[in-house]
Amino acid sequence: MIKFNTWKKQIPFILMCLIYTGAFIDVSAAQKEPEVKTVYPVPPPAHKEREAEEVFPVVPPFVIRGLFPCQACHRKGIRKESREIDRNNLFFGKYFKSPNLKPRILSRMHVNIKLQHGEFQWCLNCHATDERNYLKLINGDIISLVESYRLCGQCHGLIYRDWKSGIHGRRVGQWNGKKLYLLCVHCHDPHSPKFRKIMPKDPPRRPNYGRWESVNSIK
Amino acid sequence: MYKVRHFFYQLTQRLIKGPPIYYAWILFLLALIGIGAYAYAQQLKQGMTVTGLTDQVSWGLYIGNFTFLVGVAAAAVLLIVPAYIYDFGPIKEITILGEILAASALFMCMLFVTVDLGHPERVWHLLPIVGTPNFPSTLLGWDIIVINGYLLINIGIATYLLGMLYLEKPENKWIYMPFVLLSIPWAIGIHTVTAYLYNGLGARPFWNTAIIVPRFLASAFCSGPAISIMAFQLIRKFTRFEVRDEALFKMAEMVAIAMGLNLVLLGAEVFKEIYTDTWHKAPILYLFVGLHGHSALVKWIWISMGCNLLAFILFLIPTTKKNHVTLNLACILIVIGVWLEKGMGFIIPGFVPTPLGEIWEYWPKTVEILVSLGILGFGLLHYTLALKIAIPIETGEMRVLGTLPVSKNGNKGLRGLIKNLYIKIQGIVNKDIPIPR
Amino acid sequence: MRKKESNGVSRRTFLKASGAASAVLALGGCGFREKFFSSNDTLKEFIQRNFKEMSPEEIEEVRQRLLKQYKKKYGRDFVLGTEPPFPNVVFAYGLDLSRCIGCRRCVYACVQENNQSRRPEIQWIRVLRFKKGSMNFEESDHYYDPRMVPEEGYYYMPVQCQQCENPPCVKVCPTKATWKDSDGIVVIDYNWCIGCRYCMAACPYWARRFNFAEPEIPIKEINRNLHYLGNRPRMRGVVEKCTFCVQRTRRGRYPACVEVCPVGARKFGNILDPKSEISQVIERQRVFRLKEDLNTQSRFYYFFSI
Repeated sequence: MIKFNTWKKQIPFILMCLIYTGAFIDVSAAQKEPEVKTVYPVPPPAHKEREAEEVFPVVPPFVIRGLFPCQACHRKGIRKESREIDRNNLFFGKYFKSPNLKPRILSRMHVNIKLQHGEFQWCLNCHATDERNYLKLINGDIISLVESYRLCGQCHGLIYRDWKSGIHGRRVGQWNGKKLYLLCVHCHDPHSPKFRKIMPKDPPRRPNYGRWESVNSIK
Repeated sequence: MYKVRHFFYQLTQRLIKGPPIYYAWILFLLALIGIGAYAYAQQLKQGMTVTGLTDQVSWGLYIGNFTFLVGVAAAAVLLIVPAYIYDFGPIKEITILGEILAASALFMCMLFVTVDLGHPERVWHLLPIVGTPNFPSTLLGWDIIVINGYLLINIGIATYLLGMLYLEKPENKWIYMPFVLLSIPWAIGIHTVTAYLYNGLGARPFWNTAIIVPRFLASAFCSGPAISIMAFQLIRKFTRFEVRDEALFKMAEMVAIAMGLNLVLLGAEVFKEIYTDTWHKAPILYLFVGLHGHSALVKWIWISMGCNLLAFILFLIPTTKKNHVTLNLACILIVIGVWLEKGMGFIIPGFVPTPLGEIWEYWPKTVEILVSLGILGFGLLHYTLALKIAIPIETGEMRVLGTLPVSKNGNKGLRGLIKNLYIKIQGIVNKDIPIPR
Repeated sequence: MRKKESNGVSRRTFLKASGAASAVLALGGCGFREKFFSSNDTLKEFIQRNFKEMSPEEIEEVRQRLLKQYKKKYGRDFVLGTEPPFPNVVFAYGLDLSRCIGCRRCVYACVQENNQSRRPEIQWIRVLRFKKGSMNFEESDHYYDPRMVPEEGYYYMPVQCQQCENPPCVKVCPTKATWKDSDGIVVIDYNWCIGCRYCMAACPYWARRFNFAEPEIPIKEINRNLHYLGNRPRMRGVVEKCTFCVQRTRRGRYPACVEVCPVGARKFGNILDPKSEISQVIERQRVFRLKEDLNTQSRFYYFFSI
């Protein structure tokens, strides 16, 4: 401890201590509240993305015959047309002038398609209501099945970003040249995209295969 | 020219003639070598699949024997140090025998490595100019250099000393002492480099500890001299060579110290793994108690521990050390113990578990055992034949220009005096030896 | 004591010498030396030098000899390349552990692509199954055989040669039979390897396999696009391992395991190119490498993307 003869000689020391402490307090207060002004980025205008989106040369999707083109059945005036073609085999039921937009599980047609894609989904979330051959995006765009990656990319943004760089999914082709871009639907069934389990190939042979086995035991 | 012819004449006489037990022994060894050669031919024909080796345990009996025999080669240095550094008389007479044992052991080492290769005809790839040795980064390259170097040093010193004795010329200290002194650090070197072979692999935590270097040295100084002690007693019995008991007891003392050190170091290694209790304890557990039900080596390592401990006690207590029966028993126990601990008990746990966690055990198959016995036979044959030449030279029975039989007292006494005079006179007459001034 | 000739050479010696000289010339003229050495392929293979030190002519000679040998043995024509690495390319590999389902299709695609022995069985890739919660190799299972994969509560990790930047196997090879090429692939010259298996003891990933017996490849399944340092049919007594499919990657294609993986768990590319797939993976995913504490600086990056 520093010894002083009189209290007067202690004053410079006390002043120094106060100044240092004050400086620390000042500095720490400054660190807690920075005085930098932040600016929020301007949100992008609507439909601006259409030009900015990259278009990828993809392998065209496969479609199930009999179900595609959808607009063979799902179009305006189909009731009238079908009445004209075949009087006996009319559409009966609840096919009114406009499609039924109520989310429900279908019971008459497309019962083979099990929709197990997230929760609270139903067909017309993705399939365009009026142009049934196409898909629709959240911002209102109507896209063809060849561009279906944009639809998937709306929700699966990180995977979409990876797929655009080529690091999602199976790679076939040249690592230093032309790459093959597959659509999402080439691997993932859009209606129930979770991969099913598959049979694995055989395990490796044990090293004691065909050898004297009294000491080597099977793990 | 006459002398060279005479030398070869004496050589062949010495090698061919001997007591019946000599013939039996040589025939036995030749039979062993024959069986070994046949087994090796099978291995060459069908590939190494006839051995018990697998991708998981890729080194086995051959490399285990190689490791053990590099230790046996330390027999020489344990004799040289007391003989030349401490000038201990009784041992000085027998250093040459130790060097010959070291040479035999080193020949066996090189043979074991050769039979372990998948392509032994491609060994020339290791040589400097015609091949591409990966020197200095590979320790196998260093191992080859130090082992061959030590072999040459031993053979060189032994040949020089025996040659001078044979020619009855005085030995020139300046020629052989530098090599003798060089052989001491070089012997430490061969064990260190062999230990580095295993030590430098980060993939095998059982080996990747610095303690295996002093452990190798300690167990080397046990096994080599133990074999020497037994060999010297046999030599004493079958030939006229004199080996004093003091020499044997001194060697036994040094073995005791070395075994004590070995046990301490082993204890340290086991403690470190068991107490720290990381995944790296798996090989030690496999060795001492078994791992997930695999316990092929457990009883062998405990036998080895028992042998080592018992031998240590026998060597330590002066009464048992001086009693020839217990001395020999202790030597045999040490050889068994060190072979189990440093041969299979060192190599196999390095591979169990594999770097990816598999546990596969290894047991040598018949082919490996036969080839190993064949190589052992070869080493013993070399040792026997070399001794058959060296000992008569040492005792004076084989000398240049005539081999007068030596009496029971050797070259001492009146008869020896007369014999020496006779030899000198003969030499002067034939103008080979200058007239002593 | 014979009487010495006083002057010059005797008639006898002259006749002897000329006879010998003419014999030598005759032998030399008929090309005895070339005939003996050229027709003996085994001898040529024996005196072959290390691939790294061969001149282009020697390499071409070796190539022709090997093609002839394979034609004789398998009855088919092969394509044997000896392409050097691309400049400014270092290969790296990414493996998505959240997606691997342990189906082992990569293992068998590799076996077929790289002409690995079927008996005794050699597989360069080994798929490990871990229980969720740890990565304890000792508790992994290599021989899992369920009806369907992926199984609940487990995850899978395929391991193959990591093509380390600081490879312990290259460090310990006594003959420089294995080395790291400039494109990052650790290759083996099968004609130079002496089969000492030191590299197998040194590899921390158990990536190397030894041909304990003569490898057996069914002729119908043999892959005829070969590379000298990669998938050419090996002989017994030499060590082999994954080479990132040199025969494919040095011609611009993906390795076989990358192309066959049904869930797209494998990524491959040139790590020196910032726009390549593997660079993107390293940039975006949190990659790790196995046994990084051993400082092998492996070029095989594992990550969990989901």
